[in-house]
This record gives sequence, C-alpha cells and structure tokens, in this order.
Amino acid sequence: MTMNDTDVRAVLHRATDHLASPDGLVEGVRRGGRRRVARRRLLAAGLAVVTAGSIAGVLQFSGTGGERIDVASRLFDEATRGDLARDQAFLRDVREVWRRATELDDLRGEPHVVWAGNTPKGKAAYVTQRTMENPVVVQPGDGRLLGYGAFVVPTAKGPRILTLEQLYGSGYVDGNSQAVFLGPDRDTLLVLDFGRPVEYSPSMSYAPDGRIVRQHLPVTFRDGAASLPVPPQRTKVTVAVGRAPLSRDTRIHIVNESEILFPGGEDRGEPKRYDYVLPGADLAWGAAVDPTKRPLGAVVAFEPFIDIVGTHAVNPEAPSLSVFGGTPDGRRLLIETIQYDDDPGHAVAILGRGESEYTVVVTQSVDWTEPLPVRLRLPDGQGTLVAAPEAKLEYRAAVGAWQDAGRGAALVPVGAIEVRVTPASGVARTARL
Amino acid sequence: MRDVRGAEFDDFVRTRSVSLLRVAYLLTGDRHAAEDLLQEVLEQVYVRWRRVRTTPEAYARRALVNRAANRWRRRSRRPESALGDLDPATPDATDGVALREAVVAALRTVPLRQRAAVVLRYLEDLSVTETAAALDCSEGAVKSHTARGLAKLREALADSGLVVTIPNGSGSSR
Repeated sequence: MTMNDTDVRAVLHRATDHLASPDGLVEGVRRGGRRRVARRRLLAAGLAVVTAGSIAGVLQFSGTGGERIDVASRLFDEATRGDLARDQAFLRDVREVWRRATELDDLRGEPHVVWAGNTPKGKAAYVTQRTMENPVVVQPGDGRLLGYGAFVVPTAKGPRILTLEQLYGSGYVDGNSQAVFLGPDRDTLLVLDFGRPVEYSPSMSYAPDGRIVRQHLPVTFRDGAASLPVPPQRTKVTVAVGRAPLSRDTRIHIVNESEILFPGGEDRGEPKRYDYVLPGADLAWGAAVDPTKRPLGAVVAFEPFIDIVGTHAVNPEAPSLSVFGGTPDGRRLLIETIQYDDDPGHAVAILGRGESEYTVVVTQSVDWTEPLPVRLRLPDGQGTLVAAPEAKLEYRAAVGAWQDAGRGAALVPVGAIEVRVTPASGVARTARL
Repeated sequence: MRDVRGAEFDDFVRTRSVSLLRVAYLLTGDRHAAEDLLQEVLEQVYVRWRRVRTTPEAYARRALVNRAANRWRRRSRRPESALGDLDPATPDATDGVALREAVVAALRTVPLRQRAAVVLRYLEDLSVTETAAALDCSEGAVKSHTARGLAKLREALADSGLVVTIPNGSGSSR
C-alpha cells in the first residue's frame, strides 16, 4: 500500500519525536556567535594582510585557535585569463551582472573575473568572489568555504549569470561546475581549465547488442578555457566531460544540463519499476534472493550497457524491469532493462554462479508497445525468458494446451513456440517465439 | 557593552531550536551532525541578528539547507556509516528506533534538495512559497523536488518493509 501524505507527515514526526534541545544551547550559541563576531571584525581589519599573504600561498590565521585557512585559491587570485581579459567594458558588465545576482551579505572584496573570452556563441565569463567568513563546511578534511563562483553566459537579452556555487578550500573543486553549454541550441561546450587534463565525449550511441559506445577526445585548452562544438543538446544530454581519463569518478559537472533534462524545473515522472522473482529462483540464488541487490559480478557484467560517464533522464513511459530466476541447469539468471532519455531500451540477460562469475548471454532491443516486449532465448537449451509487466502469461508447445506461466515474467521451456499475453485490462494476444 | 540581541534572540533559540533540530536531523541523518549543524546556523543567526530579527526562522531554515548540502556533498563521496554507529538505540524504545532508522535510511536515498523539500513541506508544514524561499528556488522547482522526493521516499520506505501505524485512526501503511 502506498503511503499517503498524512502517513508521510506522521513518520517524519515520529522519526524526530526523540529529539530535544541540546543542553546549554543558548549559552553555547552565544559563545560561538561572539567568537564569530570577533573573527569577522579581525578579517575586515586584516584584508591588506590577507592580500599580501596570498602571494605566499597560504595565510596562517590565528584568530580562533590557529585554524589554517587557504586564502590563495587560484580561482580568486590569478590574473584574468581569456581573450577578453583586458576588455574593461565587458569585465565591468560581467561584474555588474554578478552584483545584481548576488545579494549575499557575507561576500567581501570585489568579484574576480577568472576567465573572460569570446566563444562561437558570444562573450562568456566565469566569476568568483570571496566570502566574509571561511567556516569549515566540508567534513572530514576541514574544507572551508572560500567564496562563490558562477558562469556568465551570452543570451539574446545580454549576459546572464547561471547557478551560483560555493567554492571550498583544500582543493575541493570536484563538486563544482567546470563546464557550460552555450547557445540557444546548446551546441557549444565551454570548459574551464582548472589545471588538469580533461577529456570529453560529444555523443553516445549503441552497439547492435545495446552496449554503450562513446569516443573520448582530449580537450585542448587555450588561455584558460576551451570552446568545443558538440551536437545540439536540446532535449537530452549526450555530452560527457571529465578529468582524464574520463570515468565515473572523474566526471565534470556541466552547470546547465539540468535545464535540458528538467526544463522549467518540472518533474518528468518516474518509470514504473517491476521486480520479478521467478518460481524456483531460490534454488539458484539461495533463500534470500533480494531484488534490490546484485552480486558484484552481475554489476560488472551489466556495466558495458550503462553510460557511466553520461547524464540522462529516464522515459517515464518505459517500465524498468528486473527478473531474477534460475535455469534448469542451476545457474542464476538475471535480466535488466536499461533505457535512457527517449532512446530505445535494451533488455540484457546474464547467467552465472556465486558472486563473481557472470556473463552476458543474450540482449534485445525492447519495444514496450509490443504485446510481449521481452523474449530472450537463453543458450544451451535453457528456455526463453519472456516478460510483459502485469500481464497474465501462458505458453504452449507445437501441440498441446496452454500452460499457465504466471504474471509479468516467466522462463518458458525451450520447446515453447507461442506465448499468450493477457494484459490486466485488455485483450489476449499471441506472440510467436 | 550591551548585547543588542538581548532576550529576543534567546527566546528565538529556546522556542524554535527543537523544530530546527528536527529538520537538521532529517537532512543529515545523524543526531550529532544535526546538533553541530544547528549550532553553526544559530551562531550565524546571532551574528546577523539585526538583519534577520524579523524573520529569523526563515533565515535559519535557509542556512540549514545550504550547510546541510555542503555536508552532504562531501558525505556522498565516502562510505556511509552504519546508522547504529551514528545514533545508538536505547533498548527500551526499539519500535521507535526501528522506525527512525528506516525513515532516516529511506531519506538517505533521496537527493538532498528533494529531501529538503519533503522535510520542509511535510515535517514543517511550510507552504510552497516558504519552501521556495528556504531552498532559494522557484515554486515550480519546489513542486518538482517534492513530488520526486516523495516518490523516492515512499519507494524506499516500502522496500524497507516498515509497517507504520498511524495514531488517531488515519490508517496504516506498508
């Protein structure tokens, strides 16, 4: 049963019923607040020292117990780069756009234009500004808030500032956007040079069996940034970018990709998920077969079918299906459907044993409008996996009566030649295997 | 020198700290982290009291969400600690602890801004407009975050096998 809104309210309240105000909170807050006021005054008085100290790289700050504050991030200190670095009129415009957009009361100094340059879509820039205070905001690692940064991009109505992001000390720039799509069709990718080699992949395609195909290309920076032509990113994001070598762990965030995936911030809905555990699956998987968990070897086997470096929405109309079963010869059978954006989905079947030995045995393109969208003939005469979410399934051999095969998904014998599919609301249709 | 914050600030902390702590707890999933977060935010309110004294709670909520996001961003890069290590159970309240652990674990599956939208809308009963102010986003985005967050939360709670008995006859859900 689905929880209604009242239930959600109730569980959130009950989950926090045990909380009470910490002892001595008022006194503790006042003490801490007074320390912050003192530190703020000291910082304001010591700006000249901070500026001088930044040349050495790090200022040892002793205001509150000798915390070490990195005040020399290159994003705040280095001379502006880009072919518009000396275009005072543009820099003035960019700073003005920044000031209008940032009404934060804890900024100090002047906004710093890290990069300003011409792109095929017009003049763009990246701006940062320091915060008044540098509290530790990343734990563990004592990453301190240093300031804020944002792209300023060209539009028909003039320069526009995009999402304002916090910048941390101690080298925490991985979480920040380093790239942006430009132009009304978003067919130019601007990537900033943060000092490390970068690769990008302009598009994604599929091999005939559904494996993801991507070409990784090096990004060549010039004077602090690179403008790269990419396919138009109107309704989906095909581009991936990251530190070299491009991988799941080195991906670089593109600041405005969510505008493409969720235009207007609107929800696109979620696909309906179906997890089927076939009768007898426990013989292969053990008693505790759990549709929410995958053996490590299965995860590895599916990986070539997953775009681990890309960013995608999902089609809410296309179900998300998994089937756990066991083959007559005792192997574990696992089927997953994988689908991105409005691309065709694929069903992938793997067989294996234990934690690590899994092999992809058969795949197919899935058309969810078909009466029987999934029909995967397993090797070695192990039968055919068929699936049609929520539908009643029956099968028969060349001669003979229809045999019940349950609902949603079934492993039918190798001799079956037809499957009858009866949707929950609809007419029965027969599909040949 | 007289402290301009006076009793007004103390009253704010005394009357609103539990409510803010509840939000912080559901955002961080950890009582100790929530208390630290609350202390940081209230210190921030103290520093800016003259500017925010007319709407201190709104300011504090916004700061809570922003600071929780910073913590969460870092946390997501390291393995999760077991909940039992973070917030030990008291043996005489096992049902409540089980529910709490299930809810916190389920919330962990919900991205931070979606989680914040759900918590502010359903725990704090804020309006869409008030939630938009706290999240610094449009009202449309709040609706989107809330809908997606709720869907994920419901799914995660259903997967947890949690059986919730709601008092006052509002039914029970799995």
